[in-house]
Amino acid sequence: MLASHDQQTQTTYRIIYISKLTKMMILLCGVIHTGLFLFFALLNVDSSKAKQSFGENNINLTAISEKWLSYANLLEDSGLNSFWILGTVDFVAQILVLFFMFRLFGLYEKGEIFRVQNCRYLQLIGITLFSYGLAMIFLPALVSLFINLFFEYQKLEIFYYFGSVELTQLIWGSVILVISWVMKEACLMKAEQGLVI
Amino acid sequence: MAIIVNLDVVLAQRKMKLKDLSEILDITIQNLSVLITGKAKAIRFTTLDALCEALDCCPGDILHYQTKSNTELEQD
Repeated sequence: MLASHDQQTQTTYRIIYISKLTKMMILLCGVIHTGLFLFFALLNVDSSKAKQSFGENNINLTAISEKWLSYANLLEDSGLNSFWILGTVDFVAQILVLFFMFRLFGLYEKGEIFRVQNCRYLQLIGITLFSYGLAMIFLPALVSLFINLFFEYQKLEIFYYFGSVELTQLIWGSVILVISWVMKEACLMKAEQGLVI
Repeated sequence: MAIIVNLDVVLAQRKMKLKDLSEILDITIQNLSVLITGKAKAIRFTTLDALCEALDCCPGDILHYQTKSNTELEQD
């Protein structure tokens, strides 16, 4: 019994320590994402064409994930700014996930593991990832449809992207959503455990 | 729930205070209050054993089963 308790304390300590590190990494990632977004927004350039020179070296910056690059090029060929159309969706989804993870690991850092709020954050991460997976598949098609219907640009082809990347995204979303429900059950069990005298 | 905890009654019969019982059993007053108010979900055999020993009674003196019809009649 005592060994088990010691082990539990050691695990809790490990959770707190790793959560602290993870929180820092999430914060760094958020700063990089926001910086990149602001860079593109202020320059008002296309999502895939920002070239930055540092001395003799050139760095190609992209504001969208690689999967959408071909569609971004298609939009740019039609005279549309792909950054504002695709880059914002990418940014919002990633920042939302990072924000929820930051809050979640903040609670883990305090040693609050089985809390209702943790389950809520996990659920929100799952929902965001799943929605992002759906957006990955349908957003280009919806954008093309919307532009073809309401704007007088060159007619855009309707694309559906469905491959291993999108499927993986959907799987991650579902897995985290299920884990959030499992955690919810664990929270209920923990609360009940507190009422055993 | 149909199980009624009569710990407060037994305590009154023994003229014992909740604080004294908590000291004898090494259980917090908060936990004993959870038991008395009927909010407890379960009771360990070790706790029941300690309670019976401290109060010199049987489990049946502390726990009572009340049938559903009796509960409804009492409520009416």
